Amino acid sequence: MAEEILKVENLARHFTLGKKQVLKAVDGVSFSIKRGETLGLVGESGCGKSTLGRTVIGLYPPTAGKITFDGIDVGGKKTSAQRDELSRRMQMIFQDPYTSLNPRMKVLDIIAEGIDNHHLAANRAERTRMVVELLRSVGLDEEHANRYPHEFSGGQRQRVGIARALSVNPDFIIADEPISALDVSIQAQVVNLLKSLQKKRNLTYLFIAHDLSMVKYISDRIGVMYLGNLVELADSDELFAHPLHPYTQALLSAIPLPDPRAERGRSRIVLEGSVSSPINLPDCCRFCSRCQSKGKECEKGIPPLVEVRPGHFVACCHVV
Amino acid sequence: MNKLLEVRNMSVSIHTDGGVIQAVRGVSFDLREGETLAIVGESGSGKSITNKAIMGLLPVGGRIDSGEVILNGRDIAHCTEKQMREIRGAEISMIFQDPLTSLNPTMTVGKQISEMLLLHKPQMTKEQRYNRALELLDMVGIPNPKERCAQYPHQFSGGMRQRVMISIALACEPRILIADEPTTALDVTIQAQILDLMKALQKKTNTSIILVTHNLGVVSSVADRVLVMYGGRFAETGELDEVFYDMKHPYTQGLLNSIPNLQLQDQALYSIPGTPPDLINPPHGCPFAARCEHCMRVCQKFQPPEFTFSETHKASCWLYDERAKGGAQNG
Repeated sequence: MAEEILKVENLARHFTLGKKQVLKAVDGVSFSIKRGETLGLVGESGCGKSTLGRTVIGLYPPTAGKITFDGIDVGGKKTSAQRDELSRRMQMIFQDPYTSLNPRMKVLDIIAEGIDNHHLAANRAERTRMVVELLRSVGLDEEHANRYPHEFSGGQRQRVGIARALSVNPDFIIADEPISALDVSIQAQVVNLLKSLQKKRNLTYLFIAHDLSMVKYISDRIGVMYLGNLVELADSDELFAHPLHPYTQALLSAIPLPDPRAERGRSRIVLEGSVSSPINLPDCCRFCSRCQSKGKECEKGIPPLVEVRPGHFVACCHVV
Repeated sequence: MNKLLEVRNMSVSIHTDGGVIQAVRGVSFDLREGETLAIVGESGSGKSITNKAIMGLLPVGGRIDSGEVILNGRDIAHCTEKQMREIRGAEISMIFQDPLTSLNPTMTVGKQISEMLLLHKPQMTKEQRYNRALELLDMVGIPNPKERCAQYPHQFSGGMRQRVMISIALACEPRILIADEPTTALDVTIQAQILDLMKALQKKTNTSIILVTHNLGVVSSVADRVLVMYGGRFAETGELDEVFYDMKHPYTQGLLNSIPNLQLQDQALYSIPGTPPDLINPPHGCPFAARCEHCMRVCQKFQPPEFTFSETHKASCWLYDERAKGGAQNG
């Protein structure tokens, strides 16, 4: 069994909205990721998956709970050496390749920013050589180094974003919806790139997305989030074959398959209503307002994440 | 079946500071009564511009260079703005991708629905319009229509806003509804609700729908026929099953293969190399030639003609020419 590279325990991230309103974006989430593994994180907009990713990498301080990355407490007090180590070993790829690259910087400088900060290149020539190597590894050319972001297409920009993340030789990459803004034929290119880089560099991914079929393809394990809680966590094949939480079941049945024959024979669980507001949530199962198998026990507090089968965790009162 | 709308050989160009974008080049299709036609393509394939041209809503600098759009035996491609205004909403309606920016934030939802009725059915009284608005909100599945009617768009969730858009579009019972990526901005569970609603309403009102999307899953769950566009041209068209199970054009094949199958995991995902063509200087031949693995010399020089496989199934690719039979195998 590979060692755990990241451990998240009871993590919470709340935002105060003035007065007495609290937005509980992430509320008590625990999981761990092993070295070389890809954990997919899915859920609808507003379920806290992006906030979780940003808290894990240290962009937001956690309200409660603990994040441990290879022995370092991400949310706690760190020495400057530890801070340096974290910012080198954990990197992030953002959703929107149009706004996450500085329009006034050349691609060369965008990618080299991390190299400069961590003094990874001895001189200018080496810096350029490193950037060119990175560009090639993400499928771009040397000549692209001197261009500005607006000269690239969406898929190419996302490649620049990936090259920037790789520039400091990280172990762990958080990809926050890296393919949502891209066209279908380009999505496959980027996903293949991420997968081959993972093999070559032994990377660990936290892959956040809402497109379940892509997540299944890239992830070893998948976590499903609903309103700040992790409701189900399992191996990706297991999750798709035997979804246990009513929300996961509805989510899986709601994806339209690109296969007309299968679509005709399918019965769909259509959820009523929409996700309730994450502000001032009641202290009960977060899904109970939309759940079809809701009972009295659901109002007795947030159900804990329980291992019902080896490696398959569910947070639901009805699944034991 | 009756042809409601016929687009014949339509070309659209958009004049910008950077040059003339030839967004749509010679596209033809027709729409029959009560059916759903899905137009599929990537960004820049011309799918949205085709529909905006039909509606007379081209962006500044855009114009229809040639071709006809025939609605009820009348060419509407060259109508004046005043004539178009009578058609829009009454005969063809449109719903857009982003329901928040396409609703007026300063008007109540009820008023926005009535506005449509006021324009096209001036004989209705205020009370009749109000009642019709309530009826429409109820029809699209919005609970408490009386209360909701007096609310503003920001008080609605994304899925509810899209329902409001649909109710406005259907207010005057148009025969054609153009839905431009109606579910792209919505979550999967909400998407399922809206698709179900559109299917149910179509059954009830027998409206024909043109659905513009890039999501092939959505296509397979609602469409009857499919039109695949690439680089401003038509690539393939056919019945749903023909396009999904017997696709002829290499672009359609690539597109369908690049979606991960829920079964396979270890093989690398098929991906189409390269990027879509630049439409300011579109390639002379087939727009897909630069990315096609079966590309022949003829593909780069001449636009492929239409090849017919069945009454409904057509593709535009040189591979199906008699003379290409030997060459295609040799690569």
